[in-house]
Amino acid sequence: MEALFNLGTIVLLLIVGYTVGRRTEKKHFKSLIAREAHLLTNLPYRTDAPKDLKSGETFLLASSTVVASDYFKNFVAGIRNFFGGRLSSHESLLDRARREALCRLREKALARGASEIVNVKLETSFIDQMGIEVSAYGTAIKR
Amino acid sequence: MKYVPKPDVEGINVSEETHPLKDIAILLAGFLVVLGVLMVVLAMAGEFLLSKVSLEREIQVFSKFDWTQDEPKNLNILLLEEMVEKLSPDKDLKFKISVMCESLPNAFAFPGGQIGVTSGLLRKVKTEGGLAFVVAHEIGHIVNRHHLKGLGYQLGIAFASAIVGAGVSDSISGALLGDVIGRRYSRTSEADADRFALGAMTRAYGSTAGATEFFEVALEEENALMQSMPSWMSTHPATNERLSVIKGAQEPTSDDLIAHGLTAPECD
Repeated sequence: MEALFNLGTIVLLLIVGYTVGRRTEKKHFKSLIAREAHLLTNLPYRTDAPKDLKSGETFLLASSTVVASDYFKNFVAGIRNFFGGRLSSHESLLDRARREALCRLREKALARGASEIVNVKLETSFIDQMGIEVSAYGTAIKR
Repeated sequence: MKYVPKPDVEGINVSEETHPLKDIAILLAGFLVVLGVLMVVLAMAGEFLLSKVSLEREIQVFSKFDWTQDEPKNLNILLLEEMVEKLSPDKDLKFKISVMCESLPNAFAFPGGQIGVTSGLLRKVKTEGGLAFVVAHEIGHIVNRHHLKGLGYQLGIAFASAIVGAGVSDSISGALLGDVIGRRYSRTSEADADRFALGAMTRAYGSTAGATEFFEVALEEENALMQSMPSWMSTHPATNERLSVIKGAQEPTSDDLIAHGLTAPECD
């Protein structure tokens, strides 16, 4: 009897995780696409350091994003871990995190009046079983 | 040439070839199959290995243990001991019996060939046949090594769950699977013990009169409480089923226990 109750709780959490998670993701992707379109021409970025930085003021900028996955994603990952293969549930999670970190970095630069940001690097770290933090940093150039 | 930034192509880093729900259905099905197979294999192995322990060995190992506390004061234990001796399938097998102060009628088979009955049982059962059936039923469990098999089974299940690894979800589905399989299994053991009890009573007393007494009482109480669990969930076969198995018993004409000196036990 008790085992059935536990099972019911898990199924409920899975349903909640799935529906809410999927909706959140869709919204986030939409927001990312819109912001990236705006930032595309207004604040281009590059991951290398150009040889000539003669004009303008330069300064370091950093941004970070923390993401946690939902119950459904964790459940799938747990079983996927058993058989191996591509973990598509977390692919979208990390894609969102990276893009969000980059967007925030560029928005920050835009707010400071920069015209582009160079030598952009990304770093990932784990937050103690709870989530993943992606941080992005680069050199902003104000021409 | 000047660098012209272009927007990224969507969906490169994210692959959704199969819908996540279909994905998890396939994964879960595969996982449960593997877990089920592992459990069955290990549970059977555990059972088999533990059932190889002989009764003599078991009695030897647990001879220092005393499972009962709280015994009633005025008890005529000799009568019970006589009964156990009569019902034992082999002259050399020495079972011990003791009474526990507990108002709920119940009987137990402890490791080491020891049987316990509650004071509630002695109060409830009025005929010698009824009590003999319960005692013989417990002896049946011990002789058929059901308790050891049960332990081996549980160990096998636990081992399988441990191998597969502990995600919260995994251990719960494992517990559920193991539970359902285990209950069906314990029903077989109970039916076997019932059959043994009938055989033992026939051997010892020449009749199975009074065996149905316990179940008739239990059935009354069950109907009164309207407790009908679906039979795949219960550990014992439904009382009706058990009654129909032992309905071969004759009408009870056994003498009253009180007349034989087993007075109602005093517990506070």
